[in-house]
Amino acid sequence: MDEEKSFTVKSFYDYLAIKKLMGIKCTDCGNLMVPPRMVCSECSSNNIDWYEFKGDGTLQTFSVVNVGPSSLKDKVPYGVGVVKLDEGPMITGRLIGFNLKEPEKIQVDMKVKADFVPELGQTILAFKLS
Amino acid sequence: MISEKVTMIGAGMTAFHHKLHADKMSREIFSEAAIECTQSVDKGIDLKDIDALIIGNLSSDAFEHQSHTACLMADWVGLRPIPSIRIENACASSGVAFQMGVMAVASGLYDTVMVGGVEKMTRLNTEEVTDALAMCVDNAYEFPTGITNPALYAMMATAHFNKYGSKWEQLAAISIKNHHNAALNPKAQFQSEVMDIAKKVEAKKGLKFKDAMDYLKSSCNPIVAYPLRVFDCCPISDGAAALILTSAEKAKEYTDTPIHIKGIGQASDTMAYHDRSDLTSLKATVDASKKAYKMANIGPRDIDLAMVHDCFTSAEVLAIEDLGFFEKGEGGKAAEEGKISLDGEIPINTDGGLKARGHAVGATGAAMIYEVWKQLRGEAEKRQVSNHEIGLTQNIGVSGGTAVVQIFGR
Repeated sequence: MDEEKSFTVKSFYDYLAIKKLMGIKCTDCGNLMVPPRMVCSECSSNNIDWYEFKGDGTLQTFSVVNVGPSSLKDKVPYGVGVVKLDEGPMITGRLIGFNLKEPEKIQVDMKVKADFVPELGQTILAFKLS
Repeated sequence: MISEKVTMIGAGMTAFHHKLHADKMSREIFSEAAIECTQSVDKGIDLKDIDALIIGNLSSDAFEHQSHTACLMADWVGLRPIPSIRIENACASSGVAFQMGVMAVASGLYDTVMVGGVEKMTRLNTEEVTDALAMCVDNAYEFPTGITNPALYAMMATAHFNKYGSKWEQLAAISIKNHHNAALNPKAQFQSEVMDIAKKVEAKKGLKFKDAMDYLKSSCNPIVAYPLRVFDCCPISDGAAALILTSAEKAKEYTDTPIHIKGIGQASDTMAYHDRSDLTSLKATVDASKKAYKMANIGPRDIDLAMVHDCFTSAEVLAIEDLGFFEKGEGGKAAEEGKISLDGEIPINTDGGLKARGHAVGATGAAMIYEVWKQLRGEAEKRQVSNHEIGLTQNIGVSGGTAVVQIFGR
């Protein structure tokens, strides 16, 4: 792991491109966060280190989007959801491999696993059923 | 105490509409609201008495290719050379502008200020407006995954259904209620009950609907972001609202019946929805309302009526729970049982709300205050509620990153 990478949006996406879900750990209070930020969201310390998340988690809520932004016009309908990672923090991702035609059958406690999807010149975070 | 220092002495508002203002730009729409506002002052007001203009505006930059909006509005409504300030807090812009106005008067720096909001959205087509509004979600970590504003409130709905057993039909009841109220409000974008719209569709398509709910459940009301359908979403609107605040001491020069600002509160929450510990509540609403209730020295049971930020029907459920009107999980049921209707125990969104009055984004907070002004003065005509001593407004930026709550009394 490149310890020199700064805690930026760019670094987060650079890591997604090599299939790593990277966040940070506060070395003062131990709080885990993803994506990275420069100040701890719990104790406001700026003593932080990179932390690699395994990518396993549980779906907390979701939607199936039929009307999207113009950049995703040819992707609708697509699923999005908030996932609670096993390590604790929650994050948003695209839902891959779900039956979007029957959204009422998608359960909010489903186990999911991170996936990395190239789209519009970058790699976005997605989740598939594990 | 704020209530002993700051009062509201005038209010004006244009209709919120998707067609009515087609030939006007922000400057003309705001001028209309400002003219009505100054004319509404009981004993009259000279524009020279106004010391500053503070307006909310989300994105004249994207919508009209125009920045420096505050100066433009001051120029166009005849308020040069006083200071003019633009506030951008997404859809809470004019609610925040109001807070700034109250603080400016309370500080004693200014005696009298005009606050308000304006938005001209319809110069862009629907897709372009969607893109412009998508700038308000976290552009780094939400937008690339496909998050839209409807998707955020759809996820809140799903989380709420799952945690509390609430149902989409309860959201539909809110849509039906807000259309009913809007049909009684000449300034509302939609002048029809849901059933009136259903009847038009029946005639046009040769269909038959049992009732409004039957229509809302049909394919004529398609899903935008599951589980939210078209009638769960606010429309795109043009509009403006303007209000005049003055010190309690000065108020008697202008009116014998000022509206008192009893409490104000504002709070911020995480930008991204996924960073919230509870996905079924807007913590910023809870925090802002606690401050406002404390300042007003009252509680949720003392509120007679409220305008809340129903950009989506699920937002109204969260709002009436987070403001303390109903227990968590009971908001949808309250709507279904008519408790928030015009004749219910606490009428919510008497003007039709964002859903049916319309949502000219940067003007919405000021428009809510305009409706409270009308209700408290007993001037709300066909939609006038019987208990109208104390009113509350709750204005939200996107998914709850910003919340402002204000409490008004006669």
